[in-house]
Amino acid sequence: MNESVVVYRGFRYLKVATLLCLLAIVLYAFHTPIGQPNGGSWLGYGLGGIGAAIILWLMWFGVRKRRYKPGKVKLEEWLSAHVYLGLALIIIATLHSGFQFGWNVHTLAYVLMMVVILSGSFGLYAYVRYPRLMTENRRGQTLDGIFTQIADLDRECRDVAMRLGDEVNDAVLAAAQRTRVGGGLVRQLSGRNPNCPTLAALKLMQKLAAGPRHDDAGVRKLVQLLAKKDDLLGQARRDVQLLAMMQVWLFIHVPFTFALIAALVAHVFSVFFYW
Amino acid sequence: MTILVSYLTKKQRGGVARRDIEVAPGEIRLGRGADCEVHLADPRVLLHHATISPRGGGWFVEAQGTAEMRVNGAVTGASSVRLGDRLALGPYELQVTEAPGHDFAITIELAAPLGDDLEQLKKRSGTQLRSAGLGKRAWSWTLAIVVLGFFLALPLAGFYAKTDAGGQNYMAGAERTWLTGSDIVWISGKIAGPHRFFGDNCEACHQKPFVMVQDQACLACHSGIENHADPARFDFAAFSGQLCQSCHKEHNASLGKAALVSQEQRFCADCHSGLKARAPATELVDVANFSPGAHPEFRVSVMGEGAKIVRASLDASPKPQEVSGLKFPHDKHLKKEGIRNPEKGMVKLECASCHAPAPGGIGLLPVRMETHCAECHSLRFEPKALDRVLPHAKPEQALMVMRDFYAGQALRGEVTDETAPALVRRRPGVPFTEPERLEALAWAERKALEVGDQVFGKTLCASCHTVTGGQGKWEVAKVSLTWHWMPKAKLFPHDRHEPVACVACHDAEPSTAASDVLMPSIKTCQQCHGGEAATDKVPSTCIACHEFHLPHLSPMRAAGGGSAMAK
Repeated sequence: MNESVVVYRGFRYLKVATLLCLLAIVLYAFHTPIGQPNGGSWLGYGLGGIGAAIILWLMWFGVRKRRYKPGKVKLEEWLSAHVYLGLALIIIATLHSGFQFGWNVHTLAYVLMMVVILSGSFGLYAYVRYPRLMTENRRGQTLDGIFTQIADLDRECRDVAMRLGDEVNDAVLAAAQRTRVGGGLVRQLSGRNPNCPTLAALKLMQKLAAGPRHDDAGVRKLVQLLAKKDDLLGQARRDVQLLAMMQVWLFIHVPFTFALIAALVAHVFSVFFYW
Repeated sequence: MTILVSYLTKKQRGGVARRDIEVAPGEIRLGRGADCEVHLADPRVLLHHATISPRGGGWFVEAQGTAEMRVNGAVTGASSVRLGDRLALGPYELQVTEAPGHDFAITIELAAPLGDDLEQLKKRSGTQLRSAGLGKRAWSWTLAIVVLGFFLALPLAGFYAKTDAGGQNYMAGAERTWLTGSDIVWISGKIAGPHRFFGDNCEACHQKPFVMVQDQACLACHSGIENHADPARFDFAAFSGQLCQSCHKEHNASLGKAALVSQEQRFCADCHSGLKARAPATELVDVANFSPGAHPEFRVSVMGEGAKIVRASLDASPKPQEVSGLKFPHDKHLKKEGIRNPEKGMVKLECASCHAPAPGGIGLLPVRMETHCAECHSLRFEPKALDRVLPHAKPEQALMVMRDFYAGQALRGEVTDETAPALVRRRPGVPFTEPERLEALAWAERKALEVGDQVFGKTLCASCHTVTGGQGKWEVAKVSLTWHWMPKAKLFPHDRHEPVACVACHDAEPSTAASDVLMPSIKTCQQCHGGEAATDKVPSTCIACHEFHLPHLSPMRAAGGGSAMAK
């Protein structure tokens, strides 16, 4: 999935959503309820009903995308509609609220909805932008391929270091045995692994190569090998980072959707319970 | 003799490969270095890891520098070597055994191979968010349950915790607890100020679940709230089908305005801009808003002939006249040069000299003869007796005061009036005979009636009142003042208009007669006030001057049921 979701069929769902929003805005502008505009006027109930229906329909996308059997409507079309109708909710739900906010279940539902929409917007951005960055970063390789190269370099480094002093050997061994790509949430998202043993080994070799052992062919070789490994590590970490960015929003989008549904149920129930 | 060194290597398909070398006795170095007698080719071994050397007929092993070594499981830096000992150097295990033809044998086995670099790298690295402890399902459930718990289950449990088996809410007014007060999260907007004192008591108004707030809840306090129109004359007046809350929107003050009473123009104008079509029986004139031409001229309710109230427009011809029974020229009293006060000389009167605002600032206090008029208009009837004053508003008593006064004079004598009989003018102290006494009293009676005619009919009473009759039978016309000039409007808030001079609205200075109606025309108000949409005037909607529930009408809804009010 990429830009095609955005431009699907000449922005068909952008047009649908825009039309819906314009209709809501025009009605709101000419709507004059007694007192402040609020969710309890006929327009308020109407916008609330439409908003709730859209939310439930958008959730159905989660079910639909798990079906491998192709349906009448392409998944791409579903997603395009999902994106634009989801964005339309910002306007529909805000007008439904009549701009009245407070510390209550109603505003809670609104805030949760906004969190879902904003995380979804980031998801859209990620799906449009990151696949290209990933392709560029991988330079025709796979993450597994990069890992294989790193492991090969580790072996090669060790063989070279075997003949060298304990200080060099220890550094190379640590670089081989303790270097990580990614890891926890922060490491994956930041694309950085501070105190990387490979970098430390590279710096040591560079220091040695610039100093007393500048004529040691083994050390010079290690500088080359470790520098290449460091490059590959950077590439792998960037790949992991981009993949994490493409995934991480879903870990907000999905749980908050369920929180939103719960708040929506409480919102609708309480409004009619204390009618 | 030599030392046998055997390298054992596990084959991939099982079995063990063995490679033997012989080492000359003497100092034996073990390490990764190519120069070591016993070569241990693993990066986890130091270049020169340990040394085995003969010492005192036996053998001794010593680790080099920081190298790690275990002998029979115990970490040590140096140890003697005996047959059967097990040495651990890095990943290698060394077994010292007897060997025929050799001093001894060392069997070397790589106990902990390095392993697959790729597998280990993958194992160490986390490349999937799933592996970072994130999950969707657990968080979804957790968040949904927390939200449902705090925002649905808890308030609901709280509601039923304060409801008895019969569904009656017996806890109304009780102290809120964390449970019974948890429905605060359901509040849909700020409560209007006047309702806040019971505002945390949701069930004071929301008496039945899933039923809109019913009028009974409002009538618990607002029991007498009046109709908008007379239900006997207008069938729409009951507003049947409408609830109090159809117009009065509670929880709707979030934007800081008091939304409970609608101030909007259209709220009234929707009907009143074409009222005849909706209520043919109405006498009301159509009103659209307060801008010029959209609101009719004020119609004042004036006291008319026979104390009957007459309602007429201020621009009617002839102009409405107040028949108050009083005479009062405002112009004479408000003269620029002032008016003569018998004691203080020239005094300049102002409106406020007589018209004082009522406490609360809404109306004006009534003008009182004793307070406001008597200083100039004294009721002294006899120049020779300035301490004698007639009582106001009591003609019979006034006659008695005059009779008493002149009878006393007649009986005492020394009256200077030349028209009086000599008997009355005699020197005091001369005794009377009975016929003389009667004659003196007859004079006193005549004198009292004569002075009375003068006082009532000309000098005192008549300056303000219309007096008819004479000779002790004086009729002072009844005073009937208009109290509420515009009863269909709220009382005018004079206090809020304080910066404006009275005469800017009430044209009192040229008024020569008490019958003049000094109520200002609507044009006066419209100099400052405009309709709801006015941009250059004070935007004023109907509610600024009028009320929806008219105080003189019957209650709009019959109150019934128990009080829902709490606290």
